[in-house]
Amino acid sequence: MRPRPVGRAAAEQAAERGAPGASLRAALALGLLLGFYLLALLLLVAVAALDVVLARGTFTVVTVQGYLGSLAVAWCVLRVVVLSRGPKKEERTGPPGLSLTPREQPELWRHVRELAERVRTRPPGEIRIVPGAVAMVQEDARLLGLVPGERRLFLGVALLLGLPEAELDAVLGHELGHYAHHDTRLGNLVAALRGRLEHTVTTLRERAAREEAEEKAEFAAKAARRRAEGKPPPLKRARTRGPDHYLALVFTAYAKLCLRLTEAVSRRQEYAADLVAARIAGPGTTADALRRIPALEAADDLYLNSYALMGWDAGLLPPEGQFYGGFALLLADGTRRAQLEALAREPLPEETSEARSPYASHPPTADRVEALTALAASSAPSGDDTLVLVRRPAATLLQAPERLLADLEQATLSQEALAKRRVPWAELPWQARRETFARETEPLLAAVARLTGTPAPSGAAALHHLLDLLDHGLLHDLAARLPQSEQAARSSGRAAREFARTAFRSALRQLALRTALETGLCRWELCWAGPPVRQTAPPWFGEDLPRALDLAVAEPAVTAPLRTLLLGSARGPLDGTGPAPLTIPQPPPASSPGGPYPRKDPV
Amino acid sequence: MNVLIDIAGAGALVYAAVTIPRNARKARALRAEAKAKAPVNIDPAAYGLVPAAQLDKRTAGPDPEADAVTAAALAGDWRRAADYLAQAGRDWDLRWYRLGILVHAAAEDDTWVKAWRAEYPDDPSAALVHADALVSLAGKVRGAKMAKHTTSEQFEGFHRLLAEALPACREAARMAPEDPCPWIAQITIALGLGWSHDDFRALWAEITARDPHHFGAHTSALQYWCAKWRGSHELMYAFAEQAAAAAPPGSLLPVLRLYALYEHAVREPEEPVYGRPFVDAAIDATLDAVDRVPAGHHRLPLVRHLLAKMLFQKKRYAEAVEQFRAVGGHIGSVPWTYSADPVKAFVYARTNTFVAWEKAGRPAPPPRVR
Repeated sequence: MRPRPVGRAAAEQAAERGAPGASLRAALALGLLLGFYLLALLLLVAVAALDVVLARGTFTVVTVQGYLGSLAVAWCVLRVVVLSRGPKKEERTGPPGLSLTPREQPELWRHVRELAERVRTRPPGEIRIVPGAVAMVQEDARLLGLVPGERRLFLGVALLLGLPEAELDAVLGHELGHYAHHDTRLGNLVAALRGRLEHTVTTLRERAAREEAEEKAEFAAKAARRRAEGKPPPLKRARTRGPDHYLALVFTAYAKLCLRLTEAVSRRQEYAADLVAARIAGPGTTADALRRIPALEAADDLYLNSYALMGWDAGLLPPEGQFYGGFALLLADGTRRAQLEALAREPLPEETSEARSPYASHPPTADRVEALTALAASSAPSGDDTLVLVRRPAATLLQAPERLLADLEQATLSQEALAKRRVPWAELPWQARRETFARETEPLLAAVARLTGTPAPSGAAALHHLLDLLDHGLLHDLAARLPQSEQAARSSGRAAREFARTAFRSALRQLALRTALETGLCRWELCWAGPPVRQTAPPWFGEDLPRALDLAVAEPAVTAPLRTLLLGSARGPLDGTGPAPLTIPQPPPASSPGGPYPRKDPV
Repeated sequence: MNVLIDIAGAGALVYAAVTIPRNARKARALRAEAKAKAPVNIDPAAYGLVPAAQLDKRTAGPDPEADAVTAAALAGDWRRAADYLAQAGRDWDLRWYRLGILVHAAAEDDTWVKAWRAEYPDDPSAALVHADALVSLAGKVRGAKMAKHTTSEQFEGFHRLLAEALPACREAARMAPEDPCPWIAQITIALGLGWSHDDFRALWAEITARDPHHFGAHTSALQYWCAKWRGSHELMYAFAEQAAAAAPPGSLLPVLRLYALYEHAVREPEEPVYGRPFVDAAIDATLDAVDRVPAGHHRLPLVRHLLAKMLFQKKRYAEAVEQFRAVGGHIGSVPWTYSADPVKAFVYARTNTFVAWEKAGRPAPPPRVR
């Protein structure tokens, strides 16, 4: 294989030359696909030739063995390559999303069509909004890409919310560039080739693995039989491998060759599409977009996992239209925006030529950015570049974005997700926390109900009631009704009582926190800038709670501190010196003297 | 064409000539390996040994008096327990040994300790049993597995009990200023809470000021200094060597070297630990110490178990046979308790010792040079 030129020179070279012509690429893909069948045919011919050679000689045992062997190989090849069904025709419609009609979103459509005109290509017939920070194009070309078909453009909602309009133009320009260079028309052919190869190799590997497993199982069964008969176990044998294993090796090698060739072509296509994007939006803006997209991807991941799905286990989701739309709120936060900018400005990882995978479909972003920078330096600043300075967010292209985001949820979220309860962002953390506490304190409240024979009261009264039971020395009666860990179940005597005490204390802690949440003593607030949930509690709470819990589960139980801490009308530090802190809704008692935790004056 | 057939035939013959002997060799090796793995069996009765099924896993040696006191205490008779402890007098190591027996009972059920303390709130012995029982209970709650196999629930109970045990130990020490036992009990707390070397040395100074050659204190402190807790192989060996060298005649402390060696061997199973040069000399010194103490000494069983293991490892079978005979049917001791199946570990060492000894023609142990 030709050594890959590295870095700037390579990028320039690729950019100048562009991708090889469409017909050449088509020929390559077609050739490789035909080569696959040719390879299979070649194997069959080789086996047949061997048979012929054998038939010419005198008839011996070796001949019979040769025949049988060649039949086995031929059978494997035929079965895998011809007889087995190909992978189910993957739905050609792409990832699920929300199709936008020109009537709903006239401005976006007009914009895309204008750009298509500037690139001099046919605009897509469908624009579909999909989750994530992605953009891609598809074309339903038929007859090996000879007949053009319906074009589709997929736009990630995170790009719409997070990119400035000029950079979105760069992204659109890049994707339209793929249309203009007929990359999408050939896409199906290349996909067919890859699908065929992948299917063949995986089938062969699966069969080889199954064969091996069967052989092993057979050996184990034989050993078991011999053990049962009282004979020594059979001696180990080196495992034999069937023809499937060796066929898999041959086809894997061929698949690797195909991947190398086609991916090398698709990397060139990316450089060519970048050139189109640079013509549309200016090289500087295109480079900015290239750098910003990975940062947006990371932010979108963070947003989904830490914010949108925050209440998932509790059965809660952010309000309608905010599941994807909340990303804009994250981006609007100053701290996060600064982090994103920093991430986008960070020098891109310079990949050494050894570390590069010959199978990657895209060139390293660093090389793409470098090629664009070189282009910007060589061309005089055009009128486009001045436009870049106006940073209109891409979302302004959309009509009624809230409506669109709500519809997108309907189109992409699962039934399970859509069935969840929607709560406002500000309430999401504490509602989720409350649900979690409710689930976690359930065993304890059930234990109380079983012990007393009446259902446990709800809310703060539950804690009061429980502490009354502790005052009566019923800790171990309650703890015995809690679920036990494996180690606790094995223990006995005093150790068992200590395990019960530990389990009871953690259950009591959850109930105490739940009470603190319900009475407003502690709050769980949403925070766009830092960790998603910020817990605010009076300064003494964190220290006093463990002490109060220890006393409550001690023998004999002392429950007064925990009551004072959580339920008393004049709540404050256990030593009774400090005023009630700011987070408490009720005004602090006027008589309380100044203590070690004075109220902070705003400075 | 016949040429081709001939070539194929010759190839097959060559292949057979190479593979058949090779396979036969492999099969022989496999059979030999299987035979080596097969368990060796002896008839324990023929050598006057206790059969595997009857081995007692609970204690290191027989102690009927301790068993009787334990049973009485659990039945509520704390006076007998108090008397048992008091009779140890100022033999601090005997007191520590007897305390261990009482604490074992108290960690299971402390009703009798509560009754004792209710009647005599100022009895230092009662306070001591209470304090050390908390330490022991903490250990039971934690379990003996390594930290990564211990649950957070186990650790929570462990730390809560240790936090309770420390003031209890200090209180017991305040009540009996001469007694080293309340201080020795704190060694285990130091292990669990990860005391710094300086803090531990301060504790150790309190102990040695009261009894410089206390056997139980030294085995406990050896744990602190070994690599699995807060020390290292070097610190552990240094501690063991210093204690063994400084021990007066009639002390069993020379066995600390063997204890340290075993800790090292368990920690580094791949290293040829038993091949270290000082091992034979350390064994001889311990054998000498054993000869000097009276029969029935409360620490003899532990020492003999370690000796038996080391003599077996060093292939000194005739001497190992003596030790295995002397320990009898109780195996609740280091080194066997470190194994997941102590009975199996003990029986393996014992059986192989006797088989090898039989093979050598039942030699008498060599005379030792003093």
